[in-house]
Amino acid sequence: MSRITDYSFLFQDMFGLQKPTIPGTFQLSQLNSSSVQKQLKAVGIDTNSKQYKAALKQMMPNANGAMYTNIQGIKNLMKNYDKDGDYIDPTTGLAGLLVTEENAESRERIISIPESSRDEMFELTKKEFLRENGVQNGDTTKRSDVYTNLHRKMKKNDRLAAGYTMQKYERAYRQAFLDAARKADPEWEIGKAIPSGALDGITRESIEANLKKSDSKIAQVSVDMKI
Amino acid sequence: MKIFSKRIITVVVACMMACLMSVTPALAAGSFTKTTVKLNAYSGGSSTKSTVTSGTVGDNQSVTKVELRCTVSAGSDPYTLYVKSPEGSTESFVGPIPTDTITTTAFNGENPYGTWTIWIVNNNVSLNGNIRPVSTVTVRIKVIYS
Repeated sequence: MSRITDYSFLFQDMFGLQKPTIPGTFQLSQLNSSSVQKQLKAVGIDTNSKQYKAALKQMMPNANGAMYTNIQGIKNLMKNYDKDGDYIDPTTGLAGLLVTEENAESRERIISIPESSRDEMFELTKKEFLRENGVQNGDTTKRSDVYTNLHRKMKKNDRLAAGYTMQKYERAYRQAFLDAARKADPEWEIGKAIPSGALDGITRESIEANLKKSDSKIAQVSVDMKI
Repeated sequence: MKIFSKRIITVVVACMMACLMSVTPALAAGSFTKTTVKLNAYSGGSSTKSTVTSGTVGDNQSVTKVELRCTVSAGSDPYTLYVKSPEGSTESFVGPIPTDTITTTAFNGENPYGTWTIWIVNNNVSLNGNIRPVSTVTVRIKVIYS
């Protein structure tokens, strides 16, 4: 993300040419004045856009009319939001992942998620379970990558719910591997070498079939998305 | 006599509770605490994205609370703090000025193990009109789970 900053005022100050003022800087109380509004429009800022309104919303907490702001900074803030005014995650470029008061409850719902993502999670959970002998090692796991890949496949408004649903599947896959390891060796404990072949024969489909029997919410969305 | 027996019962109950307390904490409650690098952001921009990992987490754990201790450098301007869980959900907080602790339950129910990402965005407002707004913060995250 490129950011343009005008440093000419520093040179002006250095040579004593004028009192140091940053170009495009003004007090918040002047934000709605016609001169500032003209400046904003001159640099291509649409003051009716949701991006602009989201940027202003971010500026206002802990601020008052006597505080200063600048036009370039407003443009920088606006880049953090999409055309709907939703925050864009800078690590993935995806919107719709910010938990807000509006979506805090609705995100906790089971929805249909792509089979390819469930398969990716099943394979990763199995691979890491075998590699770490059942230990959940937060320093080496790649589970976040699976969630990100899932979010990319979902519509913006379904991304949080998709993550919530995926977590249910992930826990079910892991529980099935734990059960299988204990079945193969009743003395087995997390951290001990997993009995050879203990996970053979466990399929994602068999786990999901059991999950649908035990979880009515997942059963309700049993129509698979093929992507 | 009655008072004496009541006191004995009270002492016995207190001893039993103390014994229970020393036995039950191992019932899977846990936490991890990590500190970010120093996060700097200026003029509406975003800081570096600092990642911290959970280390080993016990079986079938869920987040119950996240505490964020923000140590704000002197002279910092207002900022917004963002925290992203390993499952990708993100919450934002208007950064405390000055140093303070924020507690959130937004990540409750998520599996805590994996990589947590923390960053700030400068809010582009400052008391000083002669320099660009700048924020500098270090965040200590404590994820509590059971």
